[in-house]
Amino acid sequence: MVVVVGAGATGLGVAWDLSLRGLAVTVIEQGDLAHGTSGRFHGLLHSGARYAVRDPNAARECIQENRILRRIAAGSIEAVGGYFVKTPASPDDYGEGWLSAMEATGIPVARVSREVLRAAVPELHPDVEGGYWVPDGVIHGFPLLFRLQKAIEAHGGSVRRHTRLLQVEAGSDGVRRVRVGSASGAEWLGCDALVNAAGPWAGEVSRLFDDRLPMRLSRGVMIIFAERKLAHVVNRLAPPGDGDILVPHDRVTIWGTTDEPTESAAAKPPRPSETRKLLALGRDLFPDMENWRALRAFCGVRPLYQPETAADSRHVTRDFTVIDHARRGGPAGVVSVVGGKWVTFRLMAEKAGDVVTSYLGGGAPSLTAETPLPPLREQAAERQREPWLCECEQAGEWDLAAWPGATLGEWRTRTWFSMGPCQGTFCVHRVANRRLTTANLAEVDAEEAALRSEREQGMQGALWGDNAREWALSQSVRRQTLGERTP
Amino acid sequence: MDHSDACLKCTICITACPVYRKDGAFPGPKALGPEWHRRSLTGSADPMDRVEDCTFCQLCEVACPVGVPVAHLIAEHKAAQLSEQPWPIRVRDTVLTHPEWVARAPTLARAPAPVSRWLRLSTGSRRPSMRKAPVSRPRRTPGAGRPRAALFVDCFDRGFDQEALTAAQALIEVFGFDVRRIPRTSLCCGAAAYASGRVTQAGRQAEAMGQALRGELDGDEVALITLNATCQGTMADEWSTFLGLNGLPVPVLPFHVFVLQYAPDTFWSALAPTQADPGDWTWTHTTCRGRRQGDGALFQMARRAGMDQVEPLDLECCGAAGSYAFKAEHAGTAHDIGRPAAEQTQGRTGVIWVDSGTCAVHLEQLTGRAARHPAYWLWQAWQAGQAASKGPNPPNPAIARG
Amino acid sequence: MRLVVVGQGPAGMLTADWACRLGAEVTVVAAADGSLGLWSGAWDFRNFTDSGEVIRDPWQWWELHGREHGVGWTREHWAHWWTRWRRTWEAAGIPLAGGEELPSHNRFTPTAVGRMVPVFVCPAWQWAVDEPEPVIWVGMEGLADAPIELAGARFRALTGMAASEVCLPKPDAWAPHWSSLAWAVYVESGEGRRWLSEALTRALGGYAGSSPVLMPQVLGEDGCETLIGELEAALERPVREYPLLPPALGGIRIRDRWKRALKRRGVSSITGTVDAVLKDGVHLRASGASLPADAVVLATGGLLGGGLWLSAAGELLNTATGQTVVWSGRMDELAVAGIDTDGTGYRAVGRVVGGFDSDRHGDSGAVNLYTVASAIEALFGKQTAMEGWGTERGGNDGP
Repeated sequence: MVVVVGAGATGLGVAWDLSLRGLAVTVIEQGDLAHGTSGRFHGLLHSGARYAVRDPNAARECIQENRILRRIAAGSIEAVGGYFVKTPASPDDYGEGWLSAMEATGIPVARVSREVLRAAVPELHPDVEGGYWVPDGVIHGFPLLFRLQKAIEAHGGSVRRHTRLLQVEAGSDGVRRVRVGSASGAEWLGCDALVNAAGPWAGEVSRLFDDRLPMRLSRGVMIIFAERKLAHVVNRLAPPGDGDILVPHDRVTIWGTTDEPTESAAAKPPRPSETRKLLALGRDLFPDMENWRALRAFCGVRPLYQPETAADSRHVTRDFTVIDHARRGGPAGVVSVVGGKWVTFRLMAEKAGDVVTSYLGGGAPSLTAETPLPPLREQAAERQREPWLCECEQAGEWDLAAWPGATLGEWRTRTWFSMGPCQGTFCVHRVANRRLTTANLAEVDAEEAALRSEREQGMQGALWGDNAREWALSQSVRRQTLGERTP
Repeated sequence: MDHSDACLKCTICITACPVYRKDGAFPGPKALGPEWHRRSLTGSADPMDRVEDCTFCQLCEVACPVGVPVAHLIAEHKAAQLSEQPWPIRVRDTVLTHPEWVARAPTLARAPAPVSRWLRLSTGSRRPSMRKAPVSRPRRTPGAGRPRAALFVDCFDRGFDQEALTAAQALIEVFGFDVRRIPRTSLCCGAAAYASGRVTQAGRQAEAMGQALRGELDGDEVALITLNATCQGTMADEWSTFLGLNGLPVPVLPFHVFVLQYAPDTFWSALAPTQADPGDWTWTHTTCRGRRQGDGALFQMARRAGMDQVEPLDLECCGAAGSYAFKAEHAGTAHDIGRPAAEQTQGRTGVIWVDSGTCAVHLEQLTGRAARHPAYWLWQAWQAGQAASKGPNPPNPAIARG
Repeated sequence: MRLVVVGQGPAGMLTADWACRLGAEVTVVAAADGSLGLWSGAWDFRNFTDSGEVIRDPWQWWELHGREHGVGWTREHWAHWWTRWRRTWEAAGIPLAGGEELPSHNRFTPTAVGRMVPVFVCPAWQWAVDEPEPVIWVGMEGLADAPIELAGARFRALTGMAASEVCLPKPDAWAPHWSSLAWAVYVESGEGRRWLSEALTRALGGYAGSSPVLMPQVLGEDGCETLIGELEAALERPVREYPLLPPALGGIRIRDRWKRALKRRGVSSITGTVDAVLKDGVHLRASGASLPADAVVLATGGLLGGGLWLSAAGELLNTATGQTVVWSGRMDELAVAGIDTDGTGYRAVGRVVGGFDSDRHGDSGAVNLYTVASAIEALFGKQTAMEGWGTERGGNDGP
């Protein structure tokens, strides 16, 4: 039995990889799927172009994985393409170096004129000077993780959510068993190998087996706009920096990001000053951005890993590291996989899987690059004959029914209810009523309060213009119409 | 479009929608406008099959607290389903979205029954008939030093109601203006096409109209005065906001707004009541498109003109909505929407003042009361006043009464 | 007096109504339809103390604490204006629960999710009681905004009273997009009346006793009172509504009836955005025209109403005057940040005038009443304002 800690893209990827190699796998996760960084990113399927100059290895991995994911995860990938755009503020010499790095790393690129660029992305500033097309795309992270879970379970593996790693027992022959805790109590699980894929919590997890990893966590703030404002990804043609990426993500648009060292693995809600600063950075690319309808702001924590200290975390490699703890004097059979990017999760899983497989003495190769993920569910015609419980994102009874027994929070990430312009103001009470068929009132109340608070925090992070009016409407509906007495 | 993403989901727009209240199968402005628009940007939203039932009255937009161009988003939605329409409807709508053709050949409105049926033209909605006896107007020669105004000749009045045009011109001359009617040739501002989702066509029509008007305006006119709220709104607002065209060099004003602003006090005191019977009512109706500017000016004008019993019709939209009531598939809804006017006027006599020709035809049919443009009624009151000041027994002008 | 009222939410309409009755020539300028259609029309006087305890006697609370909020009215003063508001609504055809009697205390009214919240007075169609009693909670299949299982469970948990949940099967005419307004339109039609009466009679057949029937607020628009009367006669029980989320029929009924009354009294309206208040009128943004006035009242609301605008740079603006409002940057202060007069040419009225947080305290009715009456007293002189009803323009239905 292999125990994997963390049900983000990395952990689920490792479990999927090992399942396909015929191993028995259990994933434990302290929260729900995508509890950490995998649920808190801008959605970009990197082409690698962003890293071509500074980190050619990472760039090569990106383009390779970009191509693989289009094959195996079709349906959760939008192949929209992206542009690197030169503005009057772009450093003049950067473009040439970038182009030769692109050639060296084998990432397709095509020069586009200012006119073509502005026709493709009319929202761009009239002063942009042209740019380059690259094969960027968009990842729908949540559905992809649910597909991974489905694939793992289809191979006999299990994903235990709301379960924490409490203790690791290892002897001279390596790891033997782990103690895990959940709401129903603590128990020991037999464990032949342990994979630490806990993202920003990888440092905390490593303390349990006495081989502490020095993580360098970095927080990145992102703003979500309520509407799909463009048809392609737009990157700033400049060295990586704050406010350089705009991603059309299904019905919304995500603007990011920032980079600030943090001690906290849990992503704290953005401060208004942070989001305002980030918003202002968009002016030279998108002059009207401040008038776009904001939806919310959020923050993700990058689980960067760097043994020695560096002054600026952006200079830390974005490449990932697979650590066999036995080789550093830690217990045998324990592997940590840290760093990396969403787009390279499969490769990270493959490399970690190789280490685990060789430790366990098997020779099965990784099959993930050739194995398409199963779809979640086919669309049904009866869906159209039902009232939407969430009108913004069109989620109805049919969608909820696919996840029986789910909590309000789980329904949110699985049906997308409460994720649209009203942020749950008009639908949470409707879905809460459905939840009462599987939970008692106290549980429903607690889940509802948690959901409301989570939605409100995000709104407050982007509280300007019409979104501020939406927030005011939400306050009145909740307090006056529904009688909520929140502190 | 600006503010297309601003929707708060507050639902105020659906409470303002006349169709939503009459047709339980109509999804309403929120679903057809901003919600569909947001989905359509992903490229995977099919048009909804009831979108063409929107009248384009724009009351949803007037109601929206955050300025979402709800109706114009619905027009965009309509545009996405034009290719799915059956042929007869395409032919019919080609004619109906070119009212400038109808104005040139008003007999087009008299299509025989079999043709009407094939074209899905309503046989239940009254069609406009020609006002045969134009109001007589004292001839005047342009005078030096007099202020100038231009009177906009809309398609409906050009084709069917020269009386209203003549009355309006006569009144503006009474106020001391020199008046010219423009454009000389029959053109359309694009309103009808936009309402049907033919946005590109609307743009072409508007451009031609703009060019003609700019050529014929000297620029020193006090205003371009319109007798039709829809044309007024289209030229003053839609051209620049939604069609990306230049506005006109002079303000485009509804007739009653111009009158309240420019008629001298002596004019009002020279009017005489026109009611055939002292118990007669004057009902005023500001059309839906006129409401983009507000409500109450017509009422004020009727009061100011000395009408004793004035009452606004309890309607936000009468249902006519340009050519909406003429379409067989919409006639039932159009009549349902306007029915409160029949209930309100029932058992009482009087006339209706309404700032659009098609609405007047519709309201006459629904209420059985004479419904005309206020210019016509005001001219009657002026003439009655002139006659009263000349002789002891002023003849009451003949007014159709319900 | 030519008066321009900016905004047509409850405060704007009340100001327009009273000024018109006192002889002013009133023009309402509003950018949109006003907020009445969002709320049930229940009237809160003061529901909670600053620390969140329920208040039973709001009169006493205002007498004790009003001065801390800058409100120095006596109970008699409150009662005078309260009576006037009630009669104003009655004249517009808006019936209030409790009739002539001046409420002495807060009652309780249900929310759609089964919480019982304090209410001072509400329209006659809405359920409000001194003490909770056992009820039958009715919902409809296909009306997700009436979550009766949740409401019933919470009502039982909070009040200890029995509640039965009854769900009516949806009618043939039902369509998936039906909001409460579409339900109301249907229920008011001939077919809908028959459907409702039959479905309710059948569903309630097994229930003995005379517990009140709580219906979702979809019982028609203009015909609501008749419909309730018919149902009560058929069921031999009290029938009342509980309010739903927007579109809120209670507020829609009030808005439409009140607007009709104002229109017939000669109040005219202009659709437009005011972007400057001048010494002698207001400036309209779209047309660039100025509208002359002897006095201007701003009833533009707060953040939600659009009277305040929070810019991307974090600045709070008064949209009608273009002035910046001093603000600390704290979220909770947004609910109380208010538009105040600058003492030169306009007065501000309405829910969000500095110092009030109606969402938290449940005092929106009192804030409306106090600010509107204060503006009217200032514009017309206190004596005229309080005694001068019954002018030709206003009609003689004052106290």
